[in-house]
Amino acid sequence: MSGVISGILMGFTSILDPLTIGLLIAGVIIGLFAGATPGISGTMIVAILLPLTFKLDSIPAFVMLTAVYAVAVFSGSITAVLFRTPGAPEAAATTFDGYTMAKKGFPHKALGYAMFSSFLGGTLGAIALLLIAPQLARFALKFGPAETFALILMALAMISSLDVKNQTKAILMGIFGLFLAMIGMDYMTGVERYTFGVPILSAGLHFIPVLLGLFAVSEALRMIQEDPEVKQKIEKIKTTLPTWEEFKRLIPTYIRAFPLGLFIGILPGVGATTASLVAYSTEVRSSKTPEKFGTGIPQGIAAPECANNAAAMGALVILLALGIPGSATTAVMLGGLILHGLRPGPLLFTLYPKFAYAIMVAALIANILIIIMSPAFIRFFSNVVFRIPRGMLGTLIILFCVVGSFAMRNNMFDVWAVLLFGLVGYVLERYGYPLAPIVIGLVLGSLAETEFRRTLITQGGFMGFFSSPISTGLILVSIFVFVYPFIKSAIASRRGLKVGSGKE
Amino acid sequence: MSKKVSTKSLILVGAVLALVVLAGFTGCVGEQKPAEQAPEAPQIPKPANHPNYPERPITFIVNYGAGGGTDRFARAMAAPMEKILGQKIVVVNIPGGAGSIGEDYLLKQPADGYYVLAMGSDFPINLVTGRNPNDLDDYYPLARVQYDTGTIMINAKDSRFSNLDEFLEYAKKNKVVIAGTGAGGFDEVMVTKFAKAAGIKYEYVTYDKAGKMHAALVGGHIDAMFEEFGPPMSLIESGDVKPIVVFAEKRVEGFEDVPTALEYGWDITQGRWRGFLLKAGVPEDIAQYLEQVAYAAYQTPEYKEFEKNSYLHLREGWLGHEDFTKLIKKEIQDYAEILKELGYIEEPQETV
Repeated sequence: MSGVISGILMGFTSILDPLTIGLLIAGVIIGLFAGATPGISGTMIVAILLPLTFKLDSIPAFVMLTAVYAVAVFSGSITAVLFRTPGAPEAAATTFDGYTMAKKGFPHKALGYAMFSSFLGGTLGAIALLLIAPQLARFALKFGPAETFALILMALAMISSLDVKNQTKAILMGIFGLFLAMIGMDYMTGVERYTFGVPILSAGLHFIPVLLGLFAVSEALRMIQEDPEVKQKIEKIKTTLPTWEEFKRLIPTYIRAFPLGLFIGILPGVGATTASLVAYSTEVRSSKTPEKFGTGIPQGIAAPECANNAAAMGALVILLALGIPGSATTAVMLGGLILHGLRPGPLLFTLYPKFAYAIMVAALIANILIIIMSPAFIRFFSNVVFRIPRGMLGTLIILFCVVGSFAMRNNMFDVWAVLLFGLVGYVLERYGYPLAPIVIGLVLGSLAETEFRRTLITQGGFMGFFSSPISTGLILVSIFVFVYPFIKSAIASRRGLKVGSGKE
Repeated sequence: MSKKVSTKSLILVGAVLALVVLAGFTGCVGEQKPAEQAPEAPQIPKPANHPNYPERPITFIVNYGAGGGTDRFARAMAAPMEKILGQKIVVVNIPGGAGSIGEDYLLKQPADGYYVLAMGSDFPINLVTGRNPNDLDDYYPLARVQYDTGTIMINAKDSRFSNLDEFLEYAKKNKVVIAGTGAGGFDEVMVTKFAKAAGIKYEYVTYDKAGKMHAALVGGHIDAMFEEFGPPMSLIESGDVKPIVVFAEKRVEGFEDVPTALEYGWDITQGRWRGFLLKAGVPEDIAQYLEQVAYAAYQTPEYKEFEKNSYLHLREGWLGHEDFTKLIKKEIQDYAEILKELGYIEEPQETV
């Protein structure tokens, strides 16, 4: 333990010089802007900044990149709350309740919840990183394909609880999401599915255009339809942190979302976006009032926002402790570290303790700076944005979505995709189909499928799913979670009570 | 109220600080560049018919995502090449379809020497499977730059086997799971060749991300993996993972106790490679000029250090236009056979 404490002190002292602190703060500001701009993700900014850092020493360079990375995970929620436009993929789940809460007239509360939850998840995650990174990473390795599949399955099963008033529609949309995930080249066999010979489709539908289309473009279309003279209701956004009472009510949410987010972040190849969606689903299942999700309740913002920042730290855990990138951004950072002549891995803490602790301390400070610096940023941001007439704002959002979708892989196909899914989202919502299950199906679908098939190969059959208590337990829970809403409504209708059910 | 003032002033101070630092930092980058350029950049005669080439920035198309091996290769070469060319090189990632999307994208650009594709071993495979619908003749292979060395690695703490002999003994009696990245691609071909030569019972499982595969090996979820030395190096150094056989002509420095496949009588020495393609039809003098520039960049200490850090220095990578073209043609034939055997293609496509 004393080694850890001296390490932390070393970390603090090694970033205590004007250049490093300046770069840390610059990183936070860049992260805020990058995250809040739809289509510009943290991954992209880190990739862009990387070559600029070659003239710097490794510590100041990676302190800045870590700050960008940590903060961009949060700031995507700003536009998610204000315009239902996730500024970064990690904020996808924040639109579900964040935007609805803002629409009810409480954008300041919604932003406050998002900010506080991000700060909490990120800070606790950074502390876990500082104290027990190697142990955590080793523990996560025990999670094989069967366990990962079971965990994802549990989140998918919760789709049936997502819209209590109409489970059929929710499940239909979930299946639609799963279908979208199947388009493209199958990773396991190299076979193309649903590509109709269109080359670009073999790469699959990119998640970003679908997400921006369904949520942002469809909402922007509605915005344009409104009377352009209508004066903007939300003038100046102030962020209001949750009160002590509100925080106390969220404690159970945090107790569920934080460890879940951190753990999913550590799993290699599973990132903060998955973490936030799984945390959201878990929160719905754990709630006594699942029907309130999607109507703008604090738990619906707190769970994903806490989980995604925790997951971002989790990805750093496995990057620093084992040299394995847990997410897209950490993969880019790993490449940069190697170019700087550093090789993260089990020996990093012994060979370069100064560097390892400097990065971890920087991650901690960056997460704390979220709560200190973002209120001013949000004020500045809303000041600029809400000067724009509402009709034009919709057009601007579409513009950003189009540019952002193109930038993902420099392909015109994604531009058509974002516009098409904008229409799809618009029509679906008009007829009361929920959009959240599509996103959950799309993000989790391919992950569930590959892990499912990997289990079959590595374990040699279906019994592989029940070879460990963890996966067995998770699968049983999934089955229960999936059928429970149906049982509940069946019992209710037998009793002759009028409860919202799948029947119409 | 006081809290608000303090946050506002804090962010102001922060913003100013950030700007100052960034300005200073870009300033020094700008200052250092010309100073370095003079001694380092070798002089290469400009293309005879295009003395002003390149007049504008050149685009490197990378047919994989940011952060991967090909992306790192492209960026490591771009830095010294920029200095020699005296022009910026813009790196654009066009991932997907095992690299075939980017390969196709190159052909949609003008053949003017301003578009260069950084690619790798999947290219001949994509031509064979038809994933890339074009022909080799549509491309001008510029040069191979990297030639990596593949190995079979096991969990160093595995109680069942700790070297190749023990592994073979075990795998002849029990089915082992050997992982690689990509399906019907280079890794699977190598694993198949190895398993057939060694006569073991095996199952191939594919991972979309190398890191995930490393984690699965350390976590004990797979028995072995096909991988190059560089990516899991930190796990080798820490004693978590160890190579048991090397696919190279001779044993590798630093791993002298690891036998080659040749020593067991298996002729498997191919490695994953990376290089550059142009679209066919680029003016000959520009193509030759670019090849010379790439060779000069390949020789810079800057690039050599990158190679060493990534463990890509074990074998000579460079092959010029002619040898590189021959290599691709040969691989197309080899893959056509083996992929047919594996059931990935019915009839080899006529691509040569």
